[in-house]
Amino acid sequence: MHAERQLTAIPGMGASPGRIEDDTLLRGKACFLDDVPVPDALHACFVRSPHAHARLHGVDAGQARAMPGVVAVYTRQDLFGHVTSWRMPLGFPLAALPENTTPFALAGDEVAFVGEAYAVVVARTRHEAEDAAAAVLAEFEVLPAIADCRRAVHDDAPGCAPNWPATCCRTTPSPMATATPPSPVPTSCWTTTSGSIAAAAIPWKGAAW
Amino acid sequence: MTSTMATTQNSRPVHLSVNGKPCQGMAEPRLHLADFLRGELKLTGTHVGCEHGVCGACTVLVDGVSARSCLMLAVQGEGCAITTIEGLAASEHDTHPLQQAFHELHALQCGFCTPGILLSLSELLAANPDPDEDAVRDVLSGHLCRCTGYQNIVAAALRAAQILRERGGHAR
Repeated sequence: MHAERQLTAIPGMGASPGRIEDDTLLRGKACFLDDVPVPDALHACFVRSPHAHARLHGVDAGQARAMPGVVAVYTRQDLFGHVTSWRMPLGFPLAALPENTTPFALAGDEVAFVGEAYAVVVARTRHEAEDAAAAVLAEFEVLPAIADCRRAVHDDAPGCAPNWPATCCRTTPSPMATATPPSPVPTSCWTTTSGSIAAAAIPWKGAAW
Repeated sequence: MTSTMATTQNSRPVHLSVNGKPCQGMAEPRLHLADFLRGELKLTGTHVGCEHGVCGACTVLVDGVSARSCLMLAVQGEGCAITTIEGLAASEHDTHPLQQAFHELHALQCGFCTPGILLSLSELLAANPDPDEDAVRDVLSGHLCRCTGYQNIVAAALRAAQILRERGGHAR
């Protein structure tokens, strides 16, 4: 009882205050990011791979660049000289992670999953950006893909990104995984280290989806 | 903001009633109603989530019937009476029982999905003043909420129905 008296003596303690943000949210008056007026904002639309795995022989953005409202179309080549790395930076660098695991800002000569961006259109409006993105032409050579991550670690799994060794999916358990019971399938690429490597490992030996 | 649209030679006037007030705006034939409400009429309470009819965030009432405003063209709204979240309460000083119950029972967190849910539930309560939990969940099956979960939303819907019955009023 003594403790309760102490608690209730503190202003607000034991009370059930209502949320102060509810009124605007419930009336549709809240301001989410897309509700912020940004005069003259340009809109970007990414051009994405329709293939799980393919060689990208060329991108023709000529027609898209000439379309109404288009301000720019960027492909990998256009980034040259403006970026320090083709890849996105790694948010949490770990020694256990091999280099070159993050996605490309824009794919170069190979796409490794459906939806991988290989160009981006910047235009006056979203509709114009989407129209122009649909007019970006690309020549693909479809390559074998894997949709099952367990198959991706098999020796005969089709590779991806020829610059990488075919054995880049690890088979040696890391210290963190020593308590894991032996598995009948070589699941090492997502059990040997943290979960983040699983996503990173999949593109190495084949596209995941 | 959502300047998905520029007025072009294809744009045409759309006349409709929104929250009881006559409105007019210009819309390209391909502009969907949600972008029209948000961009042209500046009613940003209608939220665009998935933009393909799955998440329910953009739900509005069209002539009293719930509709995905991302799956309806603005030009299809010609002559229609649209109710958005901004028109759910009778006035800015009033609170709809659904709004009251959602607040009291913590049925929202980030609030992004909430406008669409409130409009679908208002349709339910207008048709059925005493819904059971199954009926509420059936309506909610058309909506995705990624932070609160559904327990409190169900509870709030049932509480709102109770408030309405006690008032002897109507949902809208």
